[in-house]
Amino acid sequence: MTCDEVRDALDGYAAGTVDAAVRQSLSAHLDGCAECRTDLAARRRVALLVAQLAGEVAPAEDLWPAISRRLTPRGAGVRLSLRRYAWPLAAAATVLMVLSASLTAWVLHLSLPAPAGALAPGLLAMEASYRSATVELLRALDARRVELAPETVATLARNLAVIDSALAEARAALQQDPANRVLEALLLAAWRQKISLLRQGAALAPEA
Amino acid sequence: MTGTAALARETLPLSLARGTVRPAAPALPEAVRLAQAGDDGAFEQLYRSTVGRVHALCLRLTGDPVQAAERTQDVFVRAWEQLPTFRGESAFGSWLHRIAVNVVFAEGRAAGRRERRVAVSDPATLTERPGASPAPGATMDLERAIAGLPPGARQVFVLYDVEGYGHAEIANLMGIAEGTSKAQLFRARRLLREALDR
Repeated sequence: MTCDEVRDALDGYAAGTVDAAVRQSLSAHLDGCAECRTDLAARRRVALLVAQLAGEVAPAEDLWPAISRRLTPRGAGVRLSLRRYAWPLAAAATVLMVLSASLTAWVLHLSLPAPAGALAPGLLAMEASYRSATVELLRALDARRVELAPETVATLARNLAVIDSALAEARAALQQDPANRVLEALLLAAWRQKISLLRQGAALAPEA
Repeated sequence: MTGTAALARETLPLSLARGTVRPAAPALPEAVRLAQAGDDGAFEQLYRSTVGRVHALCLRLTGDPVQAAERTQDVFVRAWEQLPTFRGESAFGSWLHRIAVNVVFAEGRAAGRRERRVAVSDPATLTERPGASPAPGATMDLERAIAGLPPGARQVFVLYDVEGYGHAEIANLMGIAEGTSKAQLFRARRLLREALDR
């Protein structure tokens, strides 16, 4: 065997995966070739070090906030950075009062979907819990509506409408196929998104 | 399985032998389903459980902590976008690993294959998982040596010797000939040997 041929076969030799004939040829070559013996020793050394490398290396800082900002909403999930839409309060005070009051009423109307009778009892209980939390958050949001810019309220209402539409679709599909776990997950994810959105809205402070 | 990765599996306990990606944790499938439905909270859970592996791969392929952090972000954004098409034919971790490799090489092509050599000057910035390495000094030397390799040699070494890819697959991923992959591996090993001997 030539040194080039040995070099190609050394990994298999070191791993013990070459057949007996090749192994014998390699051994014979290695006995007489110091360079290839050095190569084999180096490969074994690196292999041992590679095997000890950390399987996980944490980034220097938490990357999730930056990743989260780049995620595009899909399906039932609607995520919204409400602070992007927060505007100075004073400039739109009159419009705000009228618009936010009407939108809040609309939001309240849209955001309290009637319970569905055909869903599993466990799922109905979870929906009841989410619905109760939604009512609380809507009250909190309603109490703060004068602090929110009309654009913010409009955006909020628009996105709640999207979520409610997704909730209605998931619920209707589940009534057709109550055992479908994916639909169930979709429904619950939509509820979580709705509560998350309302929490952001309720906690939103007007910009100074 | 090829090269050093294969050798490692032959010569070390299974817990130390490094596969391409470890099997997904049992909790992942439910989180995957929820994330597919649009639940970003579930996706964050997936991120938390896999970021160390993804970042390790990106860091070793790029040799640059800043680029590694950027590529890691790209990987998870891409995974979020492609998650609806994930059908579970492979483990989630393996699927993510493939995305990571593609993201790093796509970026490399887009950037005209940067030829920067940025060594990891402070090994302390690499946060190893406690207990993952019985010889931290030696493996830190290897991490530093890998980071200091020329890009092509480094990427072939990481894919072949660390991740267990074959030359044909590496050639396909990197857009090079198989012979080039073999030559780069030989070069990488020679440079590593020299670096470790210093």
